[in-house]
Amino acid sequence: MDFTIKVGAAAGEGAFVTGKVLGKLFARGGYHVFGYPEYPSLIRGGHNSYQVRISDGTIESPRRENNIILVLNPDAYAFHIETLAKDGVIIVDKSFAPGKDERELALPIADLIKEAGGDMRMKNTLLVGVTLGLVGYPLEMLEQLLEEIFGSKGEEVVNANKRVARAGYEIGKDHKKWEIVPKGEPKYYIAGNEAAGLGALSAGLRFYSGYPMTPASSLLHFLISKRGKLPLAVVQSEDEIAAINQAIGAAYAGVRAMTGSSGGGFALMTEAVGLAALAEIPLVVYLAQRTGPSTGMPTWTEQADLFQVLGASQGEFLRIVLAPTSIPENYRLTGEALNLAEKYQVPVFVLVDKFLAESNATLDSLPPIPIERGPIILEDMEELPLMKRYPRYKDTETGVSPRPVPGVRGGYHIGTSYEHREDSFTTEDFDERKKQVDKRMRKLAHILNESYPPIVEGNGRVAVVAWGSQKGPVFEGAKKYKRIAFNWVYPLDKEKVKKAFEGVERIVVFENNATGLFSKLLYMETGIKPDALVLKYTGRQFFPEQVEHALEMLEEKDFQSPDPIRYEEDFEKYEFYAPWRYKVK
Amino acid sequence: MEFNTPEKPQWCPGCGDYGIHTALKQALHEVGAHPKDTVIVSGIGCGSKIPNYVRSYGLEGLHGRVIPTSVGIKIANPELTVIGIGGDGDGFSEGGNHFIHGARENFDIVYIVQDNHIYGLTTGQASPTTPKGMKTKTTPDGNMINEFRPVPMALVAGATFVATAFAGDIMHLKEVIKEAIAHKGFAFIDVYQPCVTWNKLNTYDWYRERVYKTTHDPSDWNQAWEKAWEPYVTDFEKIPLGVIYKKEREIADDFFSPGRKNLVKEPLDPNGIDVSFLAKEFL
Repeated sequence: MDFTIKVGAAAGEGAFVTGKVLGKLFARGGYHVFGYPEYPSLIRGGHNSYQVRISDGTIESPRRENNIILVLNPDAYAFHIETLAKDGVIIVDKSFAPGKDERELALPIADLIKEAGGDMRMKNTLLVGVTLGLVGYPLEMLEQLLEEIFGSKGEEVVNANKRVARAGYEIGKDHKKWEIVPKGEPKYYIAGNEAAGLGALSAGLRFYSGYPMTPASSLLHFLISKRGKLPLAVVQSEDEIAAINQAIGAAYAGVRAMTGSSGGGFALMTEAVGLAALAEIPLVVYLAQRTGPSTGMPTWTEQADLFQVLGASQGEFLRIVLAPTSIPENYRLTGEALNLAEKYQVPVFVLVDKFLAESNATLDSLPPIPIERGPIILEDMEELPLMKRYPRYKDTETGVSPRPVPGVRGGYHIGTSYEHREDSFTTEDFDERKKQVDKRMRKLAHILNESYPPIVEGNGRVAVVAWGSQKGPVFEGAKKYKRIAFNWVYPLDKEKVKKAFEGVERIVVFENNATGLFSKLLYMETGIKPDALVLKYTGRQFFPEQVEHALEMLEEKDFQSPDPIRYEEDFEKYEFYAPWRYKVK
Repeated sequence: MEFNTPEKPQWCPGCGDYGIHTALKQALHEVGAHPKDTVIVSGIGCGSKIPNYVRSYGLEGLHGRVIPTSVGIKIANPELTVIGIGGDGDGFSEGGNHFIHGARENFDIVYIVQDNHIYGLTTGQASPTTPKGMKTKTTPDGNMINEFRPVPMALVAGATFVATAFAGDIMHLKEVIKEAIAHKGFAFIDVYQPCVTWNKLNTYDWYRERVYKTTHDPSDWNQAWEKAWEPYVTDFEKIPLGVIYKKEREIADDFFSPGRKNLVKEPLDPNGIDVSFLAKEFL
């Protein structure tokens, strides 16, 4: 089963709420759901849409085709009608229904609401009711959810919504075309950033600091909403520079700390990444990419900040870059990032993008993430003799040194942005300098040893490769081929990567950027070179249909293309909708 | 003393940093602070080398970022005595935004500025507090720009403890630092400090002729405001020293960290935390 419902509306008309309600209802019925929002960088005006894709099995991507489309205004009709399945239904208000398409279900929405004793704010409730009726999904589940949503507003509001929902449901039932019934245990329906927040909290996050920036803001909102429910401080900082330095301070003090932003905010944080590295203070940075450079297209997606992360801050130092490939993985890896940061005392990045951060997916459960803190010292030690410091930066076999935190007797030392001796005192002694660089770099072998091997599915001579968020659409569109995805992006273990590519003769890499950044990194780190690159940098992620199409094109060339395959006209027929082709009235 | 280090600071002979260093250690000792519960946070500059010369915990961070770094430490572990310290270029130029918002939000830290009106470590450029007319490497014909006024600025921004002191009067400075440590909220001390190498105008003698200990009521905003402006309205003929303003109000730490627990001491289950109780809204 693979069923898709899309809601299209002007910004502020409630497309997201409607979509999320539908997503939650099907998740409660045990389905796998993927929810995908699109919106321009505006608060009012412009066009918003939300697609809910429902399936029996795991899904990690939206798709182009829709079975049901709910449109709340004439623009939405024009934008989305092309993506309606042949046997689909478009639910539309009679006042602006063109009336030329037999797939239209034109409703006198205002009259129906009035008859049911509701008001026009309940338009979305009505449409959800119609949709559930069309697929035969139990109305009681919607009624239950309406009670939860509107309960605080009083019985009358709940009852009016229920009446409107029922009125819609009855109409839907009269046109019933499909049969979708609850099939199992409820699942969590969670957005990428919320999954990251939950994962971090499961792994013991105690401090988060951030400054609002799309698409990272919703992580800040989520964590603030959990303040007071467990030991947690969340600071809305005066700027991103403050945010990262606050997180470094908190981490130095001995708590698990994280900061987050998008590329622009992270540019401001850059200098402090080096401080964390030199002072060996465990730090996690959650970076949700959007379309750049500069302000770019703030509410759209891209994978173009990889080298920004790899090159952030002056000097040479180790860092770890994770790129979760799905929303459940964002839960796990954001938690793991906190482990890696403390075990190796290096900066760790969780590199996601708008597509992953703001889409929703279902999770069966939220398994606790085991906490490994590395050599942190939290208990008092023997008092040090006067005039002595603790050897915080002791040259060890693994390169990682025991780390007492303030409050611990006998651990006196400073965290410092200067090169330092073992006892943390500033030094310009060449031997000490070299010793400390070697010590810090020695961690690499241990980090590589722990690094995750690429995710491999399927077999064959052609490998289709993605990294981070693009795994979902790329794997779905490349089912015929061997599929390889990277969630551990840097540093790469040559042997593990080569093993994943064993038996492969052709390599096609899909990237959501204009220059194939990950392919360059892959070549630099492992010598593996793709035979063809497929690049999309319009502001949208790939759709499975596009991946399929690109691979068909490449098949004719035996999957070899000296020039990258770029997003062209013939890709557009696989797009969601193209609002830029229409005049918004 | 428990805060002494084997290494001796290497500032220029006669540098005001020596006085601040001595007063700080003495103040910590006298308030009974233990090195294990003390964190000296600095930025970058001559004076910012100070964490190297105090045997306690410390974080010598980035130029301009003394306040956010201190804030992160204090919020994580409110039981610590966190002293942020840095120069005037560090705090008022590079870190101006943090100064304004640190004062506004009233974080529970001490913030000492070693205010010598010049960039020392980078060899003598004009700073935000360089007096008008002064010649420096970057103002070879004399500084044309109005100076930054830290004390009125701190007041306007909402600091709840604002004081001035003079690096040449260690006993007084020490007492002011002790009072700042005892204060709950953002405690700012602007320490007038001669730079014997680069600032030939604001010398020890220059200050001694102008400074006096103020005896006004620091809880009275109007009197505080008058004292804050006195150096500027008298063309630096009269420079008051001491607590200019002091009035406690709610601190941001309580807002950002409800219950204000010592988050370091909150136990962490090695098996991970079951967060399903936080995810009910997603079911």
